[in-house]
Amino acid sequence: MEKRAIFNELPRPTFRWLKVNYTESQIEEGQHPAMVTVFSEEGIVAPLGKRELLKESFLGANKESLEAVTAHYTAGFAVTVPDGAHEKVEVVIDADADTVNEKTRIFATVGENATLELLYHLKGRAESGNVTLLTEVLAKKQANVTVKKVQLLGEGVQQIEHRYTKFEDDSKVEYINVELGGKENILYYDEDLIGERAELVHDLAYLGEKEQRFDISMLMSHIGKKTVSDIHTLGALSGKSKKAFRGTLDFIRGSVASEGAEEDTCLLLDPEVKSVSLPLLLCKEDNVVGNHAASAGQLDQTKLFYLMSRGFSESEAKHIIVESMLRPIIDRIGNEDIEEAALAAVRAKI
Amino acid sequence: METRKKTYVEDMDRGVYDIRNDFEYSYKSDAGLTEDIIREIWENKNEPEWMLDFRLKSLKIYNEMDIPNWIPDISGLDMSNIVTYVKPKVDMKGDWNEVPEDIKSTFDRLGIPEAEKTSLAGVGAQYDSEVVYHSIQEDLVKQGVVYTDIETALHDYEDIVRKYFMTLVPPTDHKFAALHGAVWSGGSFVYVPAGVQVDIPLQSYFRLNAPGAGQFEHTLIIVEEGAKAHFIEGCSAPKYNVANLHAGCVELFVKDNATLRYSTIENWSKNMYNLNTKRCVVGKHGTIEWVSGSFGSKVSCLYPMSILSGEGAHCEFTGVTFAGEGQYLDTGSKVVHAAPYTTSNVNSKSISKSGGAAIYRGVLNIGKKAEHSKATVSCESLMLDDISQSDTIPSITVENDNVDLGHEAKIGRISDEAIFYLMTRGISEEEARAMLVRGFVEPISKELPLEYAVEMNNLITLELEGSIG
Repeated sequence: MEKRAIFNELPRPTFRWLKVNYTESQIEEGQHPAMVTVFSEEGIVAPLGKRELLKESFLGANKESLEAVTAHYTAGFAVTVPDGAHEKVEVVIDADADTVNEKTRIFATVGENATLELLYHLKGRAESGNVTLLTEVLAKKQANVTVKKVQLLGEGVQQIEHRYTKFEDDSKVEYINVELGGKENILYYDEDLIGERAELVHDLAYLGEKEQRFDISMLMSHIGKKTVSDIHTLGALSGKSKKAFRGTLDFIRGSVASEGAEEDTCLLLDPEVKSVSLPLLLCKEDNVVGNHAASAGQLDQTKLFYLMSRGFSESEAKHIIVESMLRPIIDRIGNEDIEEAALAAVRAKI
Repeated sequence: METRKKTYVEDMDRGVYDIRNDFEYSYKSDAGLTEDIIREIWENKNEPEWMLDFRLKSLKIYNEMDIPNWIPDISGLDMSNIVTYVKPKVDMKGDWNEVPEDIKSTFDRLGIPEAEKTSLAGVGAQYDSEVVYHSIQEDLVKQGVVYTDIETALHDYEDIVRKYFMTLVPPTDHKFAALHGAVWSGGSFVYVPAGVQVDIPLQSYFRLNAPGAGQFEHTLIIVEEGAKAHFIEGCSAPKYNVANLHAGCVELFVKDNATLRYSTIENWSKNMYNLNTKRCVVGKHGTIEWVSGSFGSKVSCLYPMSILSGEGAHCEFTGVTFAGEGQYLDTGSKVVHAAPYTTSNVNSKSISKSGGAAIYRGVLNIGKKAEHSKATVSCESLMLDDISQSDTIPSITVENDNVDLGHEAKIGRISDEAIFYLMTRGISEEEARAMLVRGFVEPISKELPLEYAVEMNNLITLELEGSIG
């Protein structure tokens, strides 16, 4: 009998009959680890060894999965950027075997005034199994961190991502996700904006087809004064694909003059898709500004009509609209080969 | 450093509402919830046999169900201490002069008889567990409109009541719906025949005077095809040191092309646990309009639900919540689009102050069949100090590709830019702030019946002495 487990539990539950307080699934099993390659300047990346979680109370997407990747990772690296340095690191996770079982853990410490650009590229021909990724980021004072991720795993693979970020004063973190592959993608991001004036920007693009599932959880805890967060998930669903977005902006008492915004935009392309959106706003501090917005709808008929009036077929016009929606995020990856691979995947899927 | 004074917003002046009468009754059940108590209530109310079965089944469901894990803390509520049935010392009257003086004067202070003379087509007044007064204008009776207490309806219109009673909110819905099914008493029954337009509102007022008691009134409204009605519900209770419970149930059936406006001002005392359930099903091209003001109670869980089951059905929800010291008001709305071309607009505002918690909890479900549906949700919260709490917990599910949906929520304090703008137009800073706070709730207050809008303005007294924040 398959073992069901709870993933991406909502920090504040709501009506039980909706069945949205968490996602029930199981951790897929696979056989072979992926090929994990890290590109960086010398001295920046080292084997991780045994390491406690940066945040002891970090929940991750699922307890069992988090424990497995924390203690029994198949590839683990410590990325350390000294104060004032500027570094780029690229991690390629190539799930090349038929059935994959990969647990990658990255622990990034970005020193004061330092810059880190971390690029993940997940790909491979694996047709089943699981890829789990745990990233912990400690952004020290005035650190500037960018984590870009392009996920092009095979359509039978389950992806579970746990990510935690600790922000010190004046640190800035930008996350860009392009999520295109995988059968089931369970993503969990926990951001502790502890330092004053810390800033987070997170843009996540996805494109679902067939029976694909995207289960996205984001928790932005505004703890320090004048902290800023701005997150945006943007995607399209076709076939019988499903998306669940659980975004929580939490203004803790004392996060004076903080601002947070979250937006979930979903384009619905076929009648059997399902979009669930839970944009929570929790507030115990009066001197803040919090906004959230969610929208879902079909293709803009005016745009479709315009493109068709210029000689494009309906199918071509849909291609253009969806690609033009995702492209601004893909273009920010900054690696032409990976951008091309992502665009090719988008075109193949529409 | 300059010390910024905070705006002080007074708690509601509850003077009129807190005047309590001596606790007098002709019968009351023992505290707690047992099969014997249910049988006693049933016998006392001389109900049909099927209602006893219904009550006992509901009790069984209540005992088997757990308390939802997401609701606020209600550990102060001990059902073994709650008296579920208190029959006042008078039977229902059709003339205020026949109502005992102390009860009549309570409703006088609340302005009910006066409103009846000036602006209402019918009035029902419930005191503890039973309706003590009911009236309706003759011309409506001639058109076939029925407005009476639900006990009378259970005898005079048994077939209709049996057909609809707790079908929309079944006892299995949640623990407190099961409780309601077991011990319900009092409430109103409205039947508007096809094509009849009841332009002047009907109003029921529910007053709980007994300490440590529960009020479980059931409101059943059926608006037939092409008909129209406006129903107003008011609730209040004086404050006691023991917990009181309100677990009412409202079931509204709006048929094809019919329109119903349901306005509520809840102003329970701050020892009240208000765990109320309201639900409406709307037929083809029908409309339900909810106007809801939540001001009182210690804990509230109230989420009026609209099920848009007919093509082109429409729902409009306008709500305001004001949470002060010691209050945890978890309110919102639920809309289910279950048919094509259905539309809904939800507009919610909340203010929290002095440690109060105002929570918006909403549901918007657009089902597979609800193609071409449109829905908008807007929630705005204003916090007036840094010891209060304001949360927004919406859930949005879309299951077809042909919809247009927008949801927006904002939390914040009064905008400095808005104050600056008003000051550049020659308005003083204090007056500018006052205007902005009043303007915040204005979209809601203008939807309230006039006397309730006045009441709301009286409830929210603003004393501005410096800046907010």
